Amino acid sequence: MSVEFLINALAAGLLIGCFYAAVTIGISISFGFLDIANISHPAFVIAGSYAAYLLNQGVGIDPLLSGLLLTIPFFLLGCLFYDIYFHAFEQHGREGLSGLAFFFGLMFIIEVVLIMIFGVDFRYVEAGYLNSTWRLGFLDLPLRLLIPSLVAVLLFVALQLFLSTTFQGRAIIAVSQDPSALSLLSIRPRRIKRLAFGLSVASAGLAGALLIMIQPVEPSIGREYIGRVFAICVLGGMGSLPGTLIAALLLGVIESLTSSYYGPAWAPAVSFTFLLATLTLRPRGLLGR
Amino acid sequence: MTAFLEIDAITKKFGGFTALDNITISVGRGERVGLIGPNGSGKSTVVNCLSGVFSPELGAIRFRDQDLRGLRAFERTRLGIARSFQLPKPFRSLTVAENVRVPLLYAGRGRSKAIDEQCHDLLTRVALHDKADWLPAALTQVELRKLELIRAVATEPELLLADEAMAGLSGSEVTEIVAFLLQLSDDGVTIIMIEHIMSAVMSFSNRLVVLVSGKKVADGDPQVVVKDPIVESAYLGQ
Amino acid sequence: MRMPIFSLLALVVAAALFAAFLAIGNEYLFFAGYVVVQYVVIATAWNILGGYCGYVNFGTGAFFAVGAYATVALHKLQNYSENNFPPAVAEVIAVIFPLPIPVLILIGGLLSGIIGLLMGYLTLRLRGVFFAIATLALAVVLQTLVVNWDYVGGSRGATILRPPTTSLFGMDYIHYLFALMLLLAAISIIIARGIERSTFGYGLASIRDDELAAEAAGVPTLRLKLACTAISGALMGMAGAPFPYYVGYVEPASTFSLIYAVNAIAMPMVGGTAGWLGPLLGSLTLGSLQQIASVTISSEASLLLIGVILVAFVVLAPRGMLGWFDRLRPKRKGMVATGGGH
Ligand SMILES: Nc1ncnc2c1ncn2[C@@H]1O[C@H](COP(=O)(O)OP(=O)(O)OP(=O)(O)O)[C@@H](O)[C@H]1O
Ligand SMILES: [Mg+2]
Repeated sequence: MSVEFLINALAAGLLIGCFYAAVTIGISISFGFLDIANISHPAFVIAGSYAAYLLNQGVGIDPLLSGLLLTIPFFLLGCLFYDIYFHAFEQHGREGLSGLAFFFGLMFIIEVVLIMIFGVDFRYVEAGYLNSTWRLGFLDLPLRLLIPSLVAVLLFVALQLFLSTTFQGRAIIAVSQDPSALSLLSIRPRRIKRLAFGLSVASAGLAGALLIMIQPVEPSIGREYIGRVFAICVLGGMGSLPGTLIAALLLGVIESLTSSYYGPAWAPAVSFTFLLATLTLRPRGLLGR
Repeated sequence: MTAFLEIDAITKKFGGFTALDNITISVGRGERVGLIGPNGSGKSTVVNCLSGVFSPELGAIRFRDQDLRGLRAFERTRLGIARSFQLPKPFRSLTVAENVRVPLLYAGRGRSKAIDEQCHDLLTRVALHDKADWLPAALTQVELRKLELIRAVATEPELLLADEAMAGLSGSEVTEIVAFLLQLSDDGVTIIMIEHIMSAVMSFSNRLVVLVSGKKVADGDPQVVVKDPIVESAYLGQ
Repeated sequence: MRMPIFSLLALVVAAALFAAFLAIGNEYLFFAGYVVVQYVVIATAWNILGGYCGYVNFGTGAFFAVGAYATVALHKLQNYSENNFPPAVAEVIAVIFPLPIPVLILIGGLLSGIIGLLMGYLTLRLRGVFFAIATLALAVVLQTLVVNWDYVGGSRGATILRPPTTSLFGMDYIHYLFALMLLLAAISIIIARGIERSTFGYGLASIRDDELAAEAAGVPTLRLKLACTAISGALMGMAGAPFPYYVGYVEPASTFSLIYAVNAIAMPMVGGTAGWLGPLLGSLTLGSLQQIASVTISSEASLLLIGVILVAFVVLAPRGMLGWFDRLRPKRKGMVATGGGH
C-alpha cells in the first residue's frame, strides 16, 4: 500500500472523526452531564437527516441552512422529552429499567415511522458544492466531507464556549457534579437539565443534516451509531468535551483505516470492539483519572 | 501475634485529592472504637476501604492475620466484617423480613435454626417483627436505621462498622441504638462506631480515633482525646 | 404452590394446549402459535435478567440469532464435509447428521449462553447502563460477522429445506416444531419461577435493588450476574435454534431484527416484571396482537403498535398489567409508595 493511500485514509478518518464528535456531543451532554442514557440519540440524528432531506427536496433549502433551522424544533422536542422523562422516571428513581426501555421504545418508534413514510431506500440531499473535491497534491478533500466536518468543529467549539463561559452553561456542568449545590444558588436543577437535554437533542438535529450531506441515509443506519457514540463518550471521559473530540478523531481514524485496508463491511465491528475495549480497559476514559 | 484488625498505613486518593493519608489504626478483639471527625474527613472512606468498596493505593489491611488485599466486598462480609451504610440502603422491592433473609442466605453461618425463625429472632431484637411483611418504603427513619443495622448483624459479624447509624434521630432513639450496639459488644462483636453525636460516642466507646482531613490526629482514651487541644481546634476551627 | 406441582402443571398445560391445537386442526394456527410461544420463551428469558436482576439486555436479536445461525452452520456442515473433510470424518458426520432439533436447541443454547457469559464478563463490573449499551452494540457486530461469513450465506441468507414430516411418528414438521417450542416455553417458565423462590432469586433481587448493599450482605454479585446472563442468553439462543427450520430461509437482516429486542422488553414491561406471570401474560397478549395486526393492517403498523405500547406502559403503567390487580392482593404496607420501581 502506498503512502498516499495511507495519508488519504488518515485524512478521511480525521474528517469523519470531526463529524462523529458532532454526533457524540449530544450524548456527552445527556449521558455525561445529566446521566441520562439517551440511546435514542442516534435515532434523533437520523430524524434530522430526513427533515433536512424533506426541506432540501421539497423546498430546495440548503442542507446546512436547514441543519441550523432544525435546531429550534429539535430543542423544543428535547425539552418535551426531558419533561416526560423527569415525571415518569427520574422523579421516582426509576431511570434504570424503565428509563432505558423508554428511550429504546422511542428509538424504535422513530425508526419504524421513518420506514413507514420513506421506505428503506437510501435518500440524499443536493447542493452545488457537495460534488466538488479539493485536491492538495495527492490529498483528496471532498467537500461532501470537508464542509460538514468544519461545521461539526464549529458546533463543538460553540457548545464548549457556551458551557465554559455562560452562567447557564456552568450551571449545566455544576448540575452534573452536585445537583444539590445548585438548589443552594436558587437555580432549579430541573430547568437546567431541561435546557441541557434540549441542547443535546438540538445538536442531534444539526448532526443529522450534516450526516445526510456526507452519505445517503436510510432509517436503520442510526443503530450503527449507538456503539460509536457511546464508545466515544466513554473513552472521552463521560462529559469531557475535549476528551470527546480526541476520542472521536481516534475512532474516525481507526475506522477509516479498517475500511480502507479490510473493506467497509467490517467498519461497524470496529466501534463495538472499541466500545468493549474501552469499557474493559479504560472505563474512566482516555483522559480519566 | 498481631492485632484483630490492623489498618496499616493506608492512603486513598480520589484523582488528585487525598482522602486518607497514611492512616494506621489497630483494633483489638472486643474493643468499642469511636471514629469521629468533621464532615469530609474520611470516616466513610475508612469503612469503604475496610469493607472492600475501595482499595487503598498504599498500605495494607489485615483482619485476624489475613491480608484483605484483593478480597471482594462479599468475601470480606463472609470473613466476618459487616458494615452499615451512612445513607440506609434497604432492598426496596423486598419486605423487611426478606431484607434480613438475604444476608442470612448468603453470609449466615448459623445453620442450626430454620431461616424463618432466624429472621424472626433478628427482627425481634430491633422490634421490627411486627413489620416483617412491610416494604421498606413504609418504614420511619429510625426503623430504616434499625433495618440497616440488623441486616449487617444477620451476617454474624466479628467486626461491625456502623457508619452514622444515628444521624437524624431523636434523643431517645439514639439511646435505643446505643443500647443495641452495647448489647452486641457484650455478645463479643468488635465495633467501630462512626458518629457525629458526641454524647452517643462518649457513652459507647472505650477508645476514640479522630480523623481530620484524611489524617489521624488522635487515638486513645475518649476522655483524654476529647480534651486534646488538636482535636478541640479541629472541631472548633470549623 | 410447591415447585414439583407447579412444574407438572406447566407441562400439563403445554400438552393440553398442543392437544387443543391438534383438535382444531387449523394449520395457520400452528404457524402463528409457534411465533407467539417463541415469544413466551424470549420474554421469560429476558425477564430473568431484566426483571429479576435489573440488567437491561438490548441484544435479544443477537442471542436469538446465535441459536438460529448455529443451526444453519450445522445444517450446512453435512454437505460441506462431503467435499472438504477427510472421508472418514465425513462418514461419521453423515451418520449423525442431520442432528435432531432438540440437540440443535441445546447447542444453540450453549453457544448463546457462552456469549452472554463473555459479554457479562467484560461489562458487568460496570454500571448496568453500560451493559445495556454493550448488548445493543453486540447485535450490530454479530450481524456484521454473519454478513461477512459466506459459509452461512452472508447477506444473501441461507435456505434450509424442511422435511414435510419428522421421523418421529411421522408427525407434521410444523406440529413437531410447535410442540418443541411449547415444551421449551414450559421449561423456561419453570426455570423462571424456580429462580424466583430460590436463594439465587433473592440474590438477584438484592442486586436489582442495590448492588453495594447486596455485596455487603455477602452476595457474590458478579458471579450471580454472570450466571443470570448466561441462563437468560441460553434460553434466547434455544428459542432461536429451531427458527431456520420454521421459516425455511434465514438472512441476517430479519434474524437480527430489532423486533426481537423490542418484543423481549415490551412483553415483560407490559405484563409486569416482578415474576414469571408478567412476561407470559405480556407475550401472549402482545404476541397475538402482533399476529392479528400484521394480518389485518400491515406488518409495519404492528411494529409501530408494539413501540407505542411499550412507551405508553413504561410511562403510564410501570408495574405492567399485573399492577392493575395489586389492589386485589392482600395489602402490603408500602406497596404504593415504592411504585414498582426497581
Ligand atoms: N467516590 C468518591 N469519589 C471522589 N471523592 C470522594 C469519593 N468518596 C468520598 N470522596 C471524598 O473524600 C472525602 C472524604 O469523604 P468521606 O465520605 O469519607 O467523609 P466522612 O468523614 O464520612 O464525612 P461525613 O461526616 O460527611 O460522612 C470527601 O471530601 C469526599 O468528597
Ligand atoms: Mg461519612
